Amino acid sequence: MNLQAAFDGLLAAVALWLAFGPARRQPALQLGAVLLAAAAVLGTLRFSGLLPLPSLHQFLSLLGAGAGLPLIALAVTRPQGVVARQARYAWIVGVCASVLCVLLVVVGGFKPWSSVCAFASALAILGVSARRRDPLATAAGIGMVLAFGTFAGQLRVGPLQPGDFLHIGLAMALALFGVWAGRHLPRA
Amino acid sequence: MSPIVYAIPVFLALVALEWLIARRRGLAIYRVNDAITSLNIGVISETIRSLVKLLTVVVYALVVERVGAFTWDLKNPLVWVLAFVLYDFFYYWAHRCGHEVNLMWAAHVVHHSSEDFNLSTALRQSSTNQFFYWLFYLPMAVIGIPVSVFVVVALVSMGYQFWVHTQLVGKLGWMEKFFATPSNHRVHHGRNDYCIDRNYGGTFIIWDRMFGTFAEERDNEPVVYGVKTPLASWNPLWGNLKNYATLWRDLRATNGMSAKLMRLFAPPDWRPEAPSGAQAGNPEAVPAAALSRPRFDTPVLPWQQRYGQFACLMVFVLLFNLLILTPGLSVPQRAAYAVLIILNAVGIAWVFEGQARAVNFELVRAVLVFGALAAGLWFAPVGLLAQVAALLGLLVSVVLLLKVRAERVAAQPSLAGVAA
Repeated sequence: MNLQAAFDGLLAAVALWLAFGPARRQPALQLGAVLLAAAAVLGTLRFSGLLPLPSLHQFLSLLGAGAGLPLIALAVTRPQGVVARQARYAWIVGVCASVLCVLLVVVGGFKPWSSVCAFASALAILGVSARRRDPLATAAGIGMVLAFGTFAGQLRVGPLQPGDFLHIGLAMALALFGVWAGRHLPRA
Repeated sequence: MSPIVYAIPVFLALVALEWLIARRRGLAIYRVNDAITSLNIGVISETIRSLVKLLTVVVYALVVERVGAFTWDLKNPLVWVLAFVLYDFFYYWAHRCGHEVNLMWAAHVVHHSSEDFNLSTALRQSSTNQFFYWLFYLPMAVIGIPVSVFVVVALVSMGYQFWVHTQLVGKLGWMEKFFATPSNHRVHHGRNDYCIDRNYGGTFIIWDRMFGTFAEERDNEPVVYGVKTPLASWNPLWGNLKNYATLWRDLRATNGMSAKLMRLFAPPDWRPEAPSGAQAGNPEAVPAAALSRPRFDTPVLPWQQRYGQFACLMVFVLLFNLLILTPGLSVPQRAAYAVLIILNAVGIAWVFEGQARAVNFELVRAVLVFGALAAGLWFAPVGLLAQVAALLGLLVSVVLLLKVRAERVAAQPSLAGVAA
């Protein structure tokens, strides 16, 4: 197993733990985590050579960034909102964001869209959490911003590729969200 | 050529057959004004579809090409079965959202606006549903189900859903457990409390049983068809727009962006003062008085009825012509033809509603449409036979409309009595 597959596997494991553990009763956080987990599982299968489905992996990565991360951002920044608390509205946001991704990126060819969504989500989490003086969510936000920054800057250190930094940073952020969800989110 | 061209005559023949059987059995399940409104709404829906279908199919095909995860062996019948089951699954969710998301309900409500339930109701399809529903099938494109397979299973599903709109077929034993049937679809069209937001399945009813939205038809509580707020019009254009107008008015009256978004995406009965995010499937109770309120109706005089039937047939002829010509028409030409068909359908509604200037409007319309066709000023070259038919059509229209006018004048006192 190569490093890419290993770090995708790490992200998948953390996202699945978040989705079916601390975020089990938090629909927006859960749906966002499931989308990221699905992309990461396919990444693991792809880079390990077990089941290479590159187009599906890229597509789910697109949905993870364009729909999953905004859902997580909504869950963290507006934990009392209907999107965070009710599956119905979490799904509506998820479906609308996914359709927007398909139309803009797959059909329209506007590839930066997923990066814009990811950065905007990370910045929203960081900004709102810092203003609320919420150390866990702020740390997770910083982790996300650093992860996306290193990925955008194509940072390479030794055997670590830009994608590896992205996966490590996201896995750490999701782990922090897991702890945060257990402490802060109201039960639906 | 659109496959719908072949399906429409079959659907119309079945509508006629059901009407004949019901008449022979003495069942009052058809009213000519309601049935013709349903057909007109169907015509407008197909007209709009001819404009936007290409777009949706192109997007689906692009997603298959760029994302399609798997390649499917189309010679394997199981692939087709899988595609059909998947289509029906996504149809369930599209249809459910059509009822439980206010913005989508504004589109779908047209189909439920008839207070009758018969095969013509199946053709009463929304013109704007098609802007939403196709999005729900994109997951099929993501897994690589080819466009050809998607189009075929969609047509099969549409064909199946037609026959469940009838009161002539009772419960069907074991089929009720697995399939959408006339019995469980009657429940779907009811406005009784137990019918609201139930039985969304297109072909399989198993999705409703799985997701908790199934209700069985009750023998001791006849289904009352229609919606809580009646359309109260025969106008097919207003039928499509009324709920958008209501939604727009409600949006303007709602303060705050969150509340406005809730207005769009919450269930149709959501109110700002209600606890945030009122759940779907738990609408306000329908008062008993609302169930017993009389159906919307207007007097139908014999010549009015004959004109309505003739004009509706002519609208179908125009629709056929549009569907046949569509591949060779530019977008502005298609749009112009669509407007023409919509005006034709609206004119018939005005005649049925007894609008003061309806007969004059229809006379002008008949002269312009049939005259243009007879003179060869059409969207495509016109043959001699079509020109002669147009002249005949003009003659029949004028005679019928003059009869309608005379009949209305003669019936004024009795109509005034009905209105009083």
